[in-house]
Amino acid sequence: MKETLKVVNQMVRDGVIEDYAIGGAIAAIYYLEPFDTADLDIFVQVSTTGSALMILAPIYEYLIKRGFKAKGEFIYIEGLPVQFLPVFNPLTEEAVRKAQTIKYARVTTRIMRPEHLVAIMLDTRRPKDYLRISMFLEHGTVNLRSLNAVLRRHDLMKKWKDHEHRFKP
Amino acid sequence: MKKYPDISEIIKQKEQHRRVLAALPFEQKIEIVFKLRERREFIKSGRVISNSKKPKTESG
Repeated sequence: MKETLKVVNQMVRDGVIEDYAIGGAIAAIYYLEPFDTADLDIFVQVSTTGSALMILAPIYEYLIKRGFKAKGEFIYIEGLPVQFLPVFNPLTEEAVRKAQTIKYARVTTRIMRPEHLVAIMLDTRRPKDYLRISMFLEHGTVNLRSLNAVLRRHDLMKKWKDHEHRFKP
Repeated sequence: MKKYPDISEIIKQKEQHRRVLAALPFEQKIEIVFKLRERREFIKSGRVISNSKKPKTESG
């Protein structure tokens, strides 16, 4: 994964993407115990507007030109399937902007904060998301005050109240 | 009434193990993820280790 992150950081330096943050399962694993997952989700902020495909086209072009292979929704960077996702609403945009900077094997990278991950999972509402929310709450890795603020800002309080019986320990 | 064993201690230990795993450095957790992925791929491939390929022990 180290080499993959180096490539993504180079994409920022080359202006292909403005900013990025690791989200999804790999970000959750940063805070929780490891579990099986297929890919690395990278949420990207880009200056281009348009459909998701149009936004992602320059990213794919850049990587394919450098010899990386695309397969389905993934692009394989140094053997790791990576899915690039453009920020698609104010919540994901804020999650990328407020991501924390960490080191992975001496490589600087950005990772979403637990409160944003929980809010995104609540918004996504798949069974595995509820399971992961309950893991976050159980481990006490979420700052409940910050989480409430995120939920209020993004109009997710009702969804939280409606579904908390599914993940409250 | 049938009496069942109390497994609360086992559950407590599992919980403790999960906390230990969660506290590992990120790099180590990612190594575990890769191992889990390899295991999943192996299971998906449906390969079986036949008896003839098993390493022979001294007794047999």
